[in-house]
Amino acid sequence: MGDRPGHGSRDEIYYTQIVVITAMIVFATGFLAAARVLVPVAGTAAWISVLIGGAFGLGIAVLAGYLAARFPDHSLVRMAERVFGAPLGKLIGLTFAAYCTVVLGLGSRESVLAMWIAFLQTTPPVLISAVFYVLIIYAAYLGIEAIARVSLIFFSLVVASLLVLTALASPVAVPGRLLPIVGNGLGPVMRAGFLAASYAGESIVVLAFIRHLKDKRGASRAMATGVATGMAIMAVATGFGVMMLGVRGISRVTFPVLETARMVGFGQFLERAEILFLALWFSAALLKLATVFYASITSVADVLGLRDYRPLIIPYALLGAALSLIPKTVLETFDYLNVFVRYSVWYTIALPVVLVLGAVARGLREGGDDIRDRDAG
Amino acid sequence: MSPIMVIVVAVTGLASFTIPHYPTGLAIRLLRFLLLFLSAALGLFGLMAGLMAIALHLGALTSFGIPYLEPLMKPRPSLRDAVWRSAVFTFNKRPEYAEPLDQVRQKKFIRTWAPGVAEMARKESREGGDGGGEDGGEKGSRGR
Repeated sequence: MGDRPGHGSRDEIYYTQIVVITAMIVFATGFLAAARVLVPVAGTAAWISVLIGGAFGLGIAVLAGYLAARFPDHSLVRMAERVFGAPLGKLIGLTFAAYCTVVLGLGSRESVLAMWIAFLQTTPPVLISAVFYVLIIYAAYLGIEAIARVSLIFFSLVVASLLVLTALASPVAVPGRLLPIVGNGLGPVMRAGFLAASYAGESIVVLAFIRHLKDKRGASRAMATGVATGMAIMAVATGFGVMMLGVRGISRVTFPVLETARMVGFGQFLERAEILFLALWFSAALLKLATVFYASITSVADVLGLRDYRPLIIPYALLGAALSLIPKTVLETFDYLNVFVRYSVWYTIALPVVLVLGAVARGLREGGDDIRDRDAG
Repeated sequence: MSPIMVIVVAVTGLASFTIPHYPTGLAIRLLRFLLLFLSAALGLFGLMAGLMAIALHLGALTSFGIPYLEPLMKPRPSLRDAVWRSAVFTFNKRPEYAEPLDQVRQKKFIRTWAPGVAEMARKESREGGDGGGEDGGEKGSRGR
């Protein structure tokens, strides 16, 4: 497979690329609607709850990185098989693939809705979804190395766009809307923080391909830096959403960040500048979804014992697209999202904890050569 | 035709002259037609989708085993030859990603005729550096 696209002679991901990919996974789709999910619980302190969620996420990332350092040559499914044996390991692998698939379905639905509401109101959402999935299929076919390289380039553009948005929004933001600092009280803020941790917990997706990292000793640090970066971006987006729209305003809009972008402009020179921002955010969302899709199919391929994941691309893309079409309306999408953030956080904490405990209890370390690398052939 | 259309067409025409490599210009011209169709069908969303597809394709390309986008992947000196173009006399080392046999491309101070440079080279040479080009220069000539 050495001559296939995306499988060049190097077949490795750098530290910075893992940082960027992790950050993208954490914030790329979530930041659009995070305020809408967190503000009803935490009130004006939604941005603090994002930071608390980030702290939870750092713990998850450190555990996941520790796991990667312990099993440097293994994907998550192979790690689970090694720790718990083949049948249970495969079962854990399947739950991981299912988790990734739900992240993919919900993430793509959110992104499609944002595109649809912002500037493609006359285009059927299913067509926007189809364009998304065509690109995701192409990215998955090329492999994680190509996705990682492009992510690094587009990440800087996306961050630059957010900095510009922040600078433009600063004069019209009302800091007083962040008061009271503790919002609805410490309890609700902590509860919202736990919900926000589900965004940070999505970083466990990286475990599917962390074995491509050049130096696994830096895995924990790379993932933690990525989570911190992603959650910092999300906290700023949520904070500015509250400062621009207020708590009541946020409950009335679908995507607070999009509305924030709508409220700012380059004087009367460039109108509807939010479309430019959204065009860049589209690239971030697409790269996140491509990464999650890649993680899903490689995990399923590992479970099925396939040496090449590519035959799974089309059927799995159809499955993801079908899942993304289940919520019929915007409100229904948010209902699903609320349920997802409430329960997925438990899974993202439990998975690395269980694997680390199992590996430590059995004294397992280092992958060994008994499990053949899928891409080596 | 709107005024902005005229501006866009003019800027596009002028921008095409900034591509110094003729075959690359031809490739970009062909890709422009694809982007034109996508933009006509789906607007800015189509344009971004097209650009993403091209970026992903570039991300997977390799040349002699070296990924095409490798110069952009690490903030190392080679970035000066990728994002912006620094002066040629500052390229003292060969790009790391190409894994050259000799890392040194040229000695540190090659413009000894420039005001102050010869003095800097002498000073660094006295301090034990390779500024005078004794070490770097030898390696540089071997490399060439």
